[in-house]
Amino acid sequence: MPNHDQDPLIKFHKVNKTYDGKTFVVCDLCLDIYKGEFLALLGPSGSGKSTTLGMLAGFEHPSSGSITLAGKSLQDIPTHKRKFGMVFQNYSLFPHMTVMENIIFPLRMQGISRKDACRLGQSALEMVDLGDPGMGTRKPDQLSGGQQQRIALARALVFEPLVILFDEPLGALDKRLREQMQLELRQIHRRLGVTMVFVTHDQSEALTMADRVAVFNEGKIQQIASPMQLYDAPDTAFVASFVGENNKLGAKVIHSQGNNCNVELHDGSRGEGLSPHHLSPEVSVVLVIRPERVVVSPGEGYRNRYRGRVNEVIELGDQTRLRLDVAGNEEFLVKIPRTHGAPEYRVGQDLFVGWRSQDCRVLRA
Amino acid sequence: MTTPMLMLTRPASVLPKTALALVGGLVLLFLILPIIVIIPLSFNSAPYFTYPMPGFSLRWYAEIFGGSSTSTMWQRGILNSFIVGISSTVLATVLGTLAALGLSQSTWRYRNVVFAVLVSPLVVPAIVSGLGLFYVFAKLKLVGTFWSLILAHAALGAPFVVITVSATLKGFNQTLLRAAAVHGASPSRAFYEVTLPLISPGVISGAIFAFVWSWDEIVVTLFLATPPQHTVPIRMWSGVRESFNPTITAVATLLIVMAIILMAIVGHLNRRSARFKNPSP
Repeated sequence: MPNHDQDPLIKFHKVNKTYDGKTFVVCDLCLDIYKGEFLALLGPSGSGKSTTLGMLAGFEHPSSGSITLAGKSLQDIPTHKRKFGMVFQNYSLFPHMTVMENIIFPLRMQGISRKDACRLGQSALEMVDLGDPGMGTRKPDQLSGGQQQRIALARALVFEPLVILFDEPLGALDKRLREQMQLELRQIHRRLGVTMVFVTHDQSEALTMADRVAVFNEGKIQQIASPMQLYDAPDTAFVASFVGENNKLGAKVIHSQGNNCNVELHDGSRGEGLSPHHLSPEVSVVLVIRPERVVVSPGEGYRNRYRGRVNEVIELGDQTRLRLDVAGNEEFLVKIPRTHGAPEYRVGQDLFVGWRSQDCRVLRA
Repeated sequence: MTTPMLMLTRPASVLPKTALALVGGLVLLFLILPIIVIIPLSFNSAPYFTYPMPGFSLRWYAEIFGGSSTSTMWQRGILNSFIVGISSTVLATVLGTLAALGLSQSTWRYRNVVFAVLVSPLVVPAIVSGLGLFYVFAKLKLVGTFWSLILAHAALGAPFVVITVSATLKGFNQTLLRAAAVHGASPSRAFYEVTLPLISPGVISGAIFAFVWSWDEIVVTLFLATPPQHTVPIRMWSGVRESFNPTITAVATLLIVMAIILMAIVGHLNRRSARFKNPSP
């Protein structure tokens, strides 16, 4: 795990990027990347995450602000002198070169002899599980998409760069292969301890792989935290809806003390939850509750206890999903593990649902 | 639903198919007939352009490669054609490739106008180009020198290079240059390691087109060349005007063979570049 006590390896300080001087693709971005960490930049398309990576790689330049690597400004360092490894979405292998020539390309650019380079290249191939003889002499177009992406990975790590950048590298692969590559990337990261910065729009990918996830929206980082923190304690309504499934209930603040917040729902009922910031009374908020944290037929001790009507019952093998009508939200989801002796539910049934105050986030609407 | 079924099963299209084959065959025959007629005549033992030929002979080839004064004239012409063709091709290829690269990366709104100007020699009648170049080169006192021919042929051959290289660049994945840069290649290194190898099929086909064009150019050359610079086509043209000498059938055959070889190279390169362009699954 990265050590957050030391100075960050890469530091974005108040970085802005605009093409027309009016709209900001990246807005006032501050971001610290620590040595050895696996950081995911997560967000929808157009959120600024790829531009951020592009500025780190040197493909684009900040309109203002600074990016430093180990304390030195990257401002005047062109891409080819930054010494990063990079894996692209469309693989971007050189089609006229063999697999081995592709992998040793970064080494040759550093002036390493062909013989030494091929030795390192072979061990990089083994690292990505493509070490079988004959692989090195093939051309990229003779390989499957998954193999090409492994070659691209080998090319990015063969010269032992300080940082490897990933620009949605698994987007073109099918689901099964993608999940397999996620685990392998994670293993390679553990083995090499190299810093990895990974851009993706797939929240489950970010949560699976990263040590920390920075959630981008509209050019700003909404929250940067570990995957579990992000899941359990989203700071903004955007993060809550972008990461995982969530139920949302509209409400307004009645009274808050510290992080504890008492609210009134739109249907007049009362509730209680935790907010990341202090909220003044009368502020409009949304209550965010994970579907699997909802308890059916809660005991009297629950402060959040509501009547609900079953709109739909979906049996999914390992879980039952109920779609309920709760406090005016007709899409309220509840996930119940299907264990032995679990009760059966039917459409139209009335029941009570509840959740603990610490499982309910109160976020500014 | 029955009508389309019937149409599919009916053996109705025999007649149109035959007609298509016939018309297609005739067109091809029309295109290739001049070549088919000329080649055997170059092996004719008699000095006439007539069939049937009385016998087989290589005397017209001997006339080109022998030691007589006519032979010297032909050999000089072939040498001139190579001097002009190769020099102008090198010039056209370098300039045309640079132009295509620049245009492909430009976002300037008038880049299409620049492109149109660069390829305009293809649509401007050769006689107009010839006349214009003659005036310009006469002022520069270049008429009657190899320089005038080389420069003119380069300018008029460059459009082929611009077009073929631009076409190759359309399929060029710009991310490859980012991949090269991020892995340590300076812009010039990336050009030699990545761009040039990938666009080389376009560069070489463009060069071949430019060379072939120069090789049989006659109109512009007539304006600019004096006898010491006369190229093969000019020699052939004046040869036909002065006397009916079958030597030109031998020369023509040599030109045809050369053109076929060059076109075969172009075909091969196009297949190769198509392979690089195919995105992988």
